Amino acid sequence: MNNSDFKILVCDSNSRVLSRLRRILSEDKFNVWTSSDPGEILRICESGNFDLLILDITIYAQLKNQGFSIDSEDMRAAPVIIMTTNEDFPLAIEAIEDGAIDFLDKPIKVKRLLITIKNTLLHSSKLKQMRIDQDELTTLKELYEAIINGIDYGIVVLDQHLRIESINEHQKRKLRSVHATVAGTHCYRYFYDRNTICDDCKIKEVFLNRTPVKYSIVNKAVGGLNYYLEVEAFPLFDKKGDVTRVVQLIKDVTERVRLEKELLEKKEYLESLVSHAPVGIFTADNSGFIRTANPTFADLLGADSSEAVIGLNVLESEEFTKEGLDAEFSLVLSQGKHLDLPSVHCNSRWGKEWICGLRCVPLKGGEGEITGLIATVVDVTEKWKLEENYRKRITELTIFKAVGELLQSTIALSDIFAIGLIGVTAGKGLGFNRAFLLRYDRRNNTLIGETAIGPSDTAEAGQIWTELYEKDLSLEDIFRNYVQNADERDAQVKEVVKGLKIPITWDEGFLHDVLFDNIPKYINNASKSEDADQRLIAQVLDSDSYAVAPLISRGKTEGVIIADNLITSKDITAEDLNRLSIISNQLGAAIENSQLLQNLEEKIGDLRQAYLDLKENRDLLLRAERLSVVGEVAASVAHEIRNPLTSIGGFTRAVLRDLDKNEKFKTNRRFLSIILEEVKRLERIVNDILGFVKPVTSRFENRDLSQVVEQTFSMMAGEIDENSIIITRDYEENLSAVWIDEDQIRQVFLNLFRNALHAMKGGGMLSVITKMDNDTVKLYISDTGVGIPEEHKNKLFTAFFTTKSTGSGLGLTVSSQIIRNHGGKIEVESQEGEGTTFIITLPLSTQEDRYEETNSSRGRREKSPHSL
Amino acid sequence: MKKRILVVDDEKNLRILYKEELKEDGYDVQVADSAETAFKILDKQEFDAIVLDVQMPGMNGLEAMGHMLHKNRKQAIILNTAYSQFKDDFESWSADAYVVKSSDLSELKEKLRELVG
Repeated sequence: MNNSDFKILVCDSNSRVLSRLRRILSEDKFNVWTSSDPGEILRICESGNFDLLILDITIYAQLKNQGFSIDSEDMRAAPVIIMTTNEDFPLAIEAIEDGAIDFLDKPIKVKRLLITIKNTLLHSSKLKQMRIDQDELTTLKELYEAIINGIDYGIVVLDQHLRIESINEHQKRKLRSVHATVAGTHCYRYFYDRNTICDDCKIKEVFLNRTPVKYSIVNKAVGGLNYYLEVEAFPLFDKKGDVTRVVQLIKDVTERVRLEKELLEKKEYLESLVSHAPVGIFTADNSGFIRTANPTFADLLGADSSEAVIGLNVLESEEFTKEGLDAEFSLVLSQGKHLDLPSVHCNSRWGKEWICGLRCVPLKGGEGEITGLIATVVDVTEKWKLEENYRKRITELTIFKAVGELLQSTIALSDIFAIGLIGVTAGKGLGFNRAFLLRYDRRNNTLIGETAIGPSDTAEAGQIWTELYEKDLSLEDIFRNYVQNADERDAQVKEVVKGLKIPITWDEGFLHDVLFDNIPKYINNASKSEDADQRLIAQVLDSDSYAVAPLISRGKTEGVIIADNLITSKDITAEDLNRLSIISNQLGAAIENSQLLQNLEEKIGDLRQAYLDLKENRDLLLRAERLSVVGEVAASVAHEIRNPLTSIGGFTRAVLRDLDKNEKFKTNRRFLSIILEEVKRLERIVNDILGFVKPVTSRFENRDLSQVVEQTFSMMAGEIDENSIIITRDYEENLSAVWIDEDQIRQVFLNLFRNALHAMKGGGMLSVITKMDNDTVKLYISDTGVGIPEEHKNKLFTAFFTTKSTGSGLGLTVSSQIIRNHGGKIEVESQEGEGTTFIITLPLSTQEDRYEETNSSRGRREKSPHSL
Repeated sequence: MKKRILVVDDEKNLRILYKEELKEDGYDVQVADSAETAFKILDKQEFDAIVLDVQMPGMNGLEAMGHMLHKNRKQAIILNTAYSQFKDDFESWSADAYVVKSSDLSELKEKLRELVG
């Protein structure tokens, strides 16, 4: 270091002193500053930007008064030399005490000045260095202490006597020991609360072997829990290379030990789980070699122990290749595929068939690469069989349901038969190859082929069944298809069925059981049977195995279904028969329904006819109702007309009577006669109307009908002659009397005879025949007139219907009303151009009628007529 | 002594006809246009027969007949009406005769002869 590197600040109130010192020091190349101003000096001191301060004692005194101190923090960097005089000695002592390094007496000697400066600077730099070294040491010490006390290790230093020399904070505070820590305590006492050295003292080994030792300590904790310490003991060597101390690094591993223990327990638990699991479990490496396997898996494979299967290769060993599983496992290992094979049919185990449920997933390494596989294997044979059974049952039930539903959709027997046979034969059905339906001809005691379904040979069967399978057709679809192509299909079996005529010759045996005891039967090897029926059917069907089920409707055997497996040659089982008979029962019920429905339809037809009849009657009634309304109107009109008619007619008669005496009024008389005739005609009409509305009270008597007829003829004698009519009569002898109102019946005859006359304008024959018929008498009134056109027949008895220009249209209506009132009926037969016959049927008199007559009083001859 | 007959009818022309025709037959004929009028006449005189219309405004013939029979059972009553149906009514049975109106009075005259001579 050069002098020029030092800055020296010189302070004195005497400028001469200052310039002298500047000159001396500059000669020695020091970097010199001077100042005499205490304020400036203080500022420079605060900046600390100098290496030495040479201070006059008087200025020191001034500065001190202002609170300046050499020993202050600001001044520490630079040493201070005080310039003094003798008189100032006490003050100089004070300055030394305050921290000044040295002092110079004034007047200052150059040599002394330079030596003092040099010493001071030297001292100062040493001091500086020491201070720096001390600071570094302190920092290091703190660091080490922090490390020693901060780390998670307990640190215990032991001397050659195994006494604790020092111990770190972690050991003191965190690592509990049974014994309180006291420096100088023996380690065996500290750690184990022993009074003597441990038998297996590790520390001793370290001292002797001069190499570190690791060991573990289990300590009882205060709470009684064990805690675990891991200790590493190092030798510490002195300069001579002797081991003077041993350091123990102590780590609390209680938590780790606990976790390890837990882990171990879990591992053991898992291992026992795996080895006792009822599921076969194994793992294989990525080459397919089995690495682990539990006893269950070994057992499933038929091996004695797990060891026997370890080493097998899932890609190569026969146990797996035989079942085609090698390909599957290969996919797991190559592509990471997850396998879930619910039912693998295996043969491996003792050559016995069993069904295995296999699941397999790949095992993966840290980077997702496939390192192997793990698989579980379960014997699902029983479960599978059970499920298979269920599946079968469900399929069957589905078929029965489908057949049932289809059967409900029709009552046509041919459809019913077809549905049944499709149910028996379709792939989705019971799966018989062919089915034949035979009807039982009761009269000839013979089974006669009716219809059949089935392929004729294997090729056709294959084609049909493949088609069914591929199209996944429902039973209904198959049925619809069948109906559409019924004629083309199953030609061969239909040919067979045509030839089926099996007479029932035996009183017992196969067919007898089926037909008459309603027992469904099946037979395999029928052609070798001793039963003739069985051989016969086998011959006709060309089939050795078949099942026969009866078709029963309303408790009677209507026929049988025969089903066989000609194409697949599968033996028929009791189960097959069971299913067949369920279908045959369904068919029987459907046939019964069909018959019932047909009966029902007939009954419905009858009812419909009855309804039509009723409706007609109701129409008749309605017409009668209407008539009664019309009649009431007509009656009131008639009544209103009658009174004036009565007076017109009455006065006309009176006038006529008077004019009779006078020949002069001949013309007037003729005119008046015409008026009178017309009045009479009107009165007749009025009478008819009023009579129709409410016929006049009947007077019933027992009368001989032929007499009444004769009376009527005589009344009409004039008209009959006028029209050149021949009368013929044929009266039954001994004709019983009839209970009638003579007047009314005569009115009927009058009406009918008048109509007859009207129909025979150019003459003709009118014949009357009476006949007894049980308890009635029939009266035939026939003419040889024009006849009644067909279209008029219905309206004949309708009120106001007439073909005559002069008729009221009430004659026949009133007539039929009168006959009805007599409890009889009137009918008409007519042939246009040939004539008309009216047939009147009247009941003969009963006992009551006669009694009535003998008891009727003179004044009360009337009997109420039947109401309209 | 001429037989006395009362004809009850609401129809004026018929009253004239009956009066003329029955007079012709030698009866002493009185007429009334309603049952009420007839009662007034009957209060003063007695008749051998009453020819009674049934359908009349006011009291009808059947009712009137009831009153008349109540008063005097000796006189004959002939119901004379356009309606044949009244024959069926019980009430009409107490009449001595029942004649359906007609321009031909012969039936009426016949009944009168039977009943009063």
